[in-house]
Amino acid sequence: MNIFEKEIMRRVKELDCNAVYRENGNSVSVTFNGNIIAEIRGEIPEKTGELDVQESEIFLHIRRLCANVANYCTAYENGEPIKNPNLSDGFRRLFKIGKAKMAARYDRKSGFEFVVWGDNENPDFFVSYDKAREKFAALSGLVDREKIFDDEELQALYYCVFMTLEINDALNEDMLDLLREVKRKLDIAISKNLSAQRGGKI
Amino acid sequence: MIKATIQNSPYCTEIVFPCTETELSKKLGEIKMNSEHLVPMAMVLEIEPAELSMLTDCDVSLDALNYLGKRLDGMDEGEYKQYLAVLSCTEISEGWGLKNMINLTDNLARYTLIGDTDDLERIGRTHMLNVRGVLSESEYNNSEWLAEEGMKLLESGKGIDTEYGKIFVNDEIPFEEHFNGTTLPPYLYNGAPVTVDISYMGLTEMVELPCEDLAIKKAVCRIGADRVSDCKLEISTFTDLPDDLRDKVMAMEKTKSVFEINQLLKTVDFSAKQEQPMSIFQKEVARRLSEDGYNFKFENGEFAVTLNDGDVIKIRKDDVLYSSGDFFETGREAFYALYHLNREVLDYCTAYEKSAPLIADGLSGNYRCLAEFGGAVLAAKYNDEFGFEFVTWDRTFDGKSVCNGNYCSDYAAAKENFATRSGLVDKDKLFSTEELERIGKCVKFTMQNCGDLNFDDCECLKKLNEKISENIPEQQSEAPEMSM
Repeated sequence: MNIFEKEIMRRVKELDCNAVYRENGNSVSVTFNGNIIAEIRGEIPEKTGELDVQESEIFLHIRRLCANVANYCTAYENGEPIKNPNLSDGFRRLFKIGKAKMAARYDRKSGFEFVVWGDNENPDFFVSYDKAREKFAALSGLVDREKIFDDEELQALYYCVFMTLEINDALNEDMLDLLREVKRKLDIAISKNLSAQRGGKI
Repeated sequence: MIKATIQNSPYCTEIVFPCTETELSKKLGEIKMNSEHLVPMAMVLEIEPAELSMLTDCDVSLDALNYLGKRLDGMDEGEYKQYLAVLSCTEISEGWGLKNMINLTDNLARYTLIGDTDDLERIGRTHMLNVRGVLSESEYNNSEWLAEEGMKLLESGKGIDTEYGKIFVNDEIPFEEHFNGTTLPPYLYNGAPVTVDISYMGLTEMVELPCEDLAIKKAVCRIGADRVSDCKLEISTFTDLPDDLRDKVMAMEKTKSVFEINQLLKTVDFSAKQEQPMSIFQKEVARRLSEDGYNFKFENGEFAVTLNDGDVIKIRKDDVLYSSGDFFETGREAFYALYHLNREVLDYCTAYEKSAPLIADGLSGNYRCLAEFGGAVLAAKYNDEFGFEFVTWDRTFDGKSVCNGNYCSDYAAAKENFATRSGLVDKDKLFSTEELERIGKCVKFTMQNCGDLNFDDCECLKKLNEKISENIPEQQSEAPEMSM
């Protein structure tokens, strides 16, 4: 089993799925509620037959997860070991954009740990690759860090938009449309975060 | 300048720093040392200026001493006196070996030297310039404030008498270690057209090209690498090189052919090049100022932008100086607008100059790759007439080409597009200015109309409101409330 396969087997549990490695087929079978819904060969998941609505949704999450995991596993396997006095041993360089750098280390049991730092910034450690990427994007100057909202902030924003739509009678149709669109966007952003935390159930 | 008598027992010689590698090699030969030694050490018998005498009878790295010589050479008279005053003061000790003598060159802000204590305004100006590094023109001319700061400094009673004047230790500024004793910090001494940051296992040294080959070998050795091919290279160019030469220089990051490029650069006459009037940064600032309708002129390497009321704001490469006394409201707005313009142009010009050409099958135009992540590419192309064009692409499945280009001239928009396209940031978590403006109004509405919020909720919403305001341009965030 390679690192990708080990990592994907660990991470599909976040989606309330189980995974079994098939040595004869060099693949990972993913089951949900006892049914095999995906077969992962290389880094690509394939449907194993007709799936119901919930299974199809889980399959989409598996596909996104595979791309995500392949991204950092490949970078890790090609990454050079780094020596940085602020980091313990075992980290390998993954990405660099401008002054921002991302590295990771791998442990068979606990999976990956990511670290992000800049020229004049102390390293920040993450278990979540998504959070590490966000920090990396902000540090590299691609996105203003004030434009990135964390989970709690997104929920508070959603609450405010929701309350405004509920109790503000003075909104005209254009404003209502705009706010509904913003609410929909916030809803998706929060759902994606929650699905990652709660196991893919949106 | 440092003059030293060095010994490799029983041979001695006199040497003056800074010196070239050739001169140093010759001196090493005179004391029967390997003239191409990569880490030459010798004992110092005598040294001038006398303030460096703590090095007497010590074995020191001659390259580090040479580096210190360059740093002292680069100081103006005031800085040089300040440096010597600190070393001459027995009450101040940072463990003055060669290592911290070098570190002192980067830590002069920690020590204010006052030669003449009669003029409070001048004392204040000297002190504030030393501590802050820069003053706006209005601050520079604010006699009352400067005299007050001068008085505060004198009344602190912390002045220590030296032969150069009174030295004050600014305890709030820590003594920072930039030089670890082995790897020499970057310092542009020759003003070379190309610099190379050579990195290995987390350590980096900068060399200026063209230079003597031995300087490159020594830098590689000091970061602990056996060969330059084992190192990571980052190139910066400071002169408009001809396209073919620039391509070769930038390709060095991959080919690692530092010595070949060094030889090639030695054959180029840069004196003519350096007389070119404007860099890409300057051309781009000029283009952006024209585009935004500013009235400006370019003289002596800086832009002078004249506002409607006659005030003038000056722009230099990494600074914006307001240069006409008081800071009126209209001037302040223009100042911040120009400050942001300057920072943004500097940001993308620096990124562009440091980037390698984008290699992709079938791609026309000289694009450079600013960033690549998760199958997405952020690239830029420069043209004297139209300025910069930014584009984000997807790499094709085989990684050899690019597709689905999204072209724009707005750098911030291109970066955001790249951030979402590459998957670094979820597109549903990024909001446009218009969306943020709406959300901000909802937050305000909720704070004012939802009575069941507790103290913590209100504080949280207050902070969110401030964060959102940061993202909205001034005129929009301060626009009148809509009837929500």
